[in-house]
Amino acid sequence: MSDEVTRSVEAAAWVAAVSAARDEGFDRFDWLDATDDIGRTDTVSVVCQLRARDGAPVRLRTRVPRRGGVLASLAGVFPGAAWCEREAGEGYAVDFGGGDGRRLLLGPDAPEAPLLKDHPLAARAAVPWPGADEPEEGARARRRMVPPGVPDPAIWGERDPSDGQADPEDVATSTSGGRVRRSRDRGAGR
Amino acid sequence: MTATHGRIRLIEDRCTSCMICARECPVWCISIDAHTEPDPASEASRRPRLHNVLDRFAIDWSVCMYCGICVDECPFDALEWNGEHVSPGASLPDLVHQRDRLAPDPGGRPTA
Ligand code: SF4
Ligand code: SF4
Repeated sequence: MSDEVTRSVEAAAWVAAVSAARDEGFDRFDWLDATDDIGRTDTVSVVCQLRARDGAPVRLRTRVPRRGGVLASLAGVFPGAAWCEREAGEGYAVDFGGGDGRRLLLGPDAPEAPLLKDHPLAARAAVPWPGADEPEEGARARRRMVPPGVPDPAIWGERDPSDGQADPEDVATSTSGGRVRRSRDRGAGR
Repeated sequence: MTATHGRIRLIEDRCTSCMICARECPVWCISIDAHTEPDPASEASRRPRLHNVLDRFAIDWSVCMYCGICVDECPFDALEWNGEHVSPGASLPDLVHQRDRLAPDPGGRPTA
């Protein structure tokens, strides 16, 4: 694998930066996708990888707001990007302006932006997780473990409404699995 | 990693019942039961250490997607590709393989 180069780009300069990279010789569109930055910043990162003829990749990364983010479409630079934008737009609630806004994968009754990390995986939360066991006497964990992708009940299901909205950092920790944190202890110090 | 992604072999004498594979498996198809016993090597000391003893280890091949995450994540190299594909079963429960089939040579080195 060759060295990866990532360029951070302002959202307003997205299309210009990708065009410039293409003109430098990174003229093959590889992929475009998004990630949710919940717990770090209130943005979604959109990443596009291009390749040069010799195979060297370059990645361009930009950030848009987590809700209602708008980013100009790359379809005018690389027509193939439109397909990836439809997928990323659907999963992460990014509006690729000037692109193809039709839904690609999700049905009409699908939840909005299911790949954002604060979208709870309800089907998983309803199933017992084999990883919750601890070796001792085959018992349930003494420490309460939660599986990746399933929200900590203290953050979601059993959350006391008077605590208000969950802190994005708590949500991020909660959905990455592992040990359930006592969110109350943290809240008291704030 | 070039081995065939088919059956996975459990090398029981390396497994510490740490649960890491079961927790990392994306489709939750590994189940493990274990209990703790005093470690005979430490019985003479004032505070005998406990170690885990495996009671049950099962993989449900009807759910497994052969991603190999469990093989990669096991810190003790107790899981490895067996080199064969999973044989068909007449019903879904037949595809849940227990230790007798995951570790055909219990306690010993795997027969290649
Ligand atoms: S990760 Fe390895 S040592 Fe731990 S329970 Fe699984 S097979 Fe055993
Ligand atoms: S190969 Fe993947 S799906 Fe199958 S048991 Fe291992 S982690 Fe789970």
